[in-house]
Amino acid sequence: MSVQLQMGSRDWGPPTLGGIIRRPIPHTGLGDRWLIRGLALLGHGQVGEVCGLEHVSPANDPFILALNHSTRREALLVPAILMLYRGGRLIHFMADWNYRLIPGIGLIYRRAQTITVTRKSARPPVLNRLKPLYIERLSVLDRSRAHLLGGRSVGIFLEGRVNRDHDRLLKGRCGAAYLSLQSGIPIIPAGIRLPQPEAGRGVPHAPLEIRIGSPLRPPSPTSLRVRIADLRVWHAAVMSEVGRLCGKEWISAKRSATMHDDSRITTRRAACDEDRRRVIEILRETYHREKHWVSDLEAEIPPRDLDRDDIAWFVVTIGDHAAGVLRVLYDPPYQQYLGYGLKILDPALQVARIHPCQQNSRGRAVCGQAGVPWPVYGRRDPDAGRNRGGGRARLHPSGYRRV
Amino acid sequence: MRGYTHLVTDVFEDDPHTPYGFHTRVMGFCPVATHEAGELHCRSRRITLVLDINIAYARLKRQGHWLYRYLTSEWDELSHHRLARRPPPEAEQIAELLRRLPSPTGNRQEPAATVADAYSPG
Repeated sequence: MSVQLQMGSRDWGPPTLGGIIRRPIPHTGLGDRWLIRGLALLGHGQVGEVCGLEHVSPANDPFILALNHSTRREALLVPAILMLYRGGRLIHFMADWNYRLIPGIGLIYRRAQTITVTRKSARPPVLNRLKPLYIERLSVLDRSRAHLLGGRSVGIFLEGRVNRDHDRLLKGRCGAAYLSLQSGIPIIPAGIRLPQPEAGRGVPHAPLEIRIGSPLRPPSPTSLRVRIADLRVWHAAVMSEVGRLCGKEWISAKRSATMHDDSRITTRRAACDEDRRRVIEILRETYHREKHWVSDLEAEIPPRDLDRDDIAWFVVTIGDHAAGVLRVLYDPPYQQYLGYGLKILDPALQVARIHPCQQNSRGRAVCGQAGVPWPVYGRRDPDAGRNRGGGRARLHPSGYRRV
Repeated sequence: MRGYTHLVTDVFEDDPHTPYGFHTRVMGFCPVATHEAGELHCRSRRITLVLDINIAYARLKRQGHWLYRYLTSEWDELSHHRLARRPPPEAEQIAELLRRLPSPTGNRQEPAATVADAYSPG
């Protein structure tokens, strides 16, 4: 290692076997020392150039290292290489719990004091029975925060899963940005590059190239209450920088710029034949073609619905794209629900009491059902959920739906 | 404003894009009933959800939720006043019953806000 380490630029060429064995690792015990060396030897030839190592030197602790995630092997090799360079000082990476079930990997993760994330399910699902063994009392964010406040660095693969797309980053998770905004601790972006495939053929064992960027310091003062707008902006800045370092485009940057521009989202009540046609288009896309829930689209929204006081249809558009439809029934027909064989979860609840047909009832109910083409809602975008919310609506002068 | 106190909607239990979690965790809907059939040709069980609009308003406001900020960004004072005032006793009893209801899916839910939460200052 020492023969390749250029102390001036802090760039690192492919490590040699002798360098891996001889490099001093003073900040850890004998067992962990050889574990790090063993992993580095295992990855010999799989890690090429490493740029910007000076940013992750122990003198800069604590920081949040934010990386893209292109292959599974980097989850072991990158931490090992960084710990080797840092003389054994740990970076506490977040890692999925199910990898700890793999013999050997579990030991490595335990010795590396990874922050175990238990959000995902295991495959096969029967392994989920073991999941409670890995659930800890504190949340992942709390454990990460404790490390950072204790002066220890944390590593996060922002995309949350392996992304084999050579051109685009995934949307990414906001945990790194959230921790950074909350604690004021800088994020160090890093990009892991793989050689581009040729003629559609991948390069499965080509050496990884790691580019570590300059620290990104959070713009706003440290605050326990992080505003979602600040979080989005900071996350976008981090993802864009990681994208630049790894040579991928972060599509969500463009998308979020349009999705969060409220002026592009409009909701208006369907009032004319053109609106009705758009409602039918959305129903065709969502409920007919995708889900096969309706057959006669014209019957779903008869022309007379446009003039009724007890029914309203709303069309949601993002820019010029029809994104969703919402039907609102004011004073929904309780008898119709009974005809569907309604099973009340608690007999003590008398749904009729909130129905206007019941005498002396002061509560009133409104029923809404929404349909959104899955390309919008399937992304789990909060804006899509907002459009699906359903509800009593009145038209705002700007065209937005306001409850 | 037509003076409605509750919002009712159905979600499909087996729909891969089900908004059940968004409705219950984010907006505060409570499941009250299920039914096997409905208007749409879907074999999935329907879960009927009810939202107490006043309680949802107070809860989202207390949390400073983005949904509250988004929905109310251009509201006038009168609209806020209407949703902040105490509902009729019947609505309070219904809210209490809704709070006790189990989830039909067995998923863990964030405890629903109580009437007291809804009308606490701020």
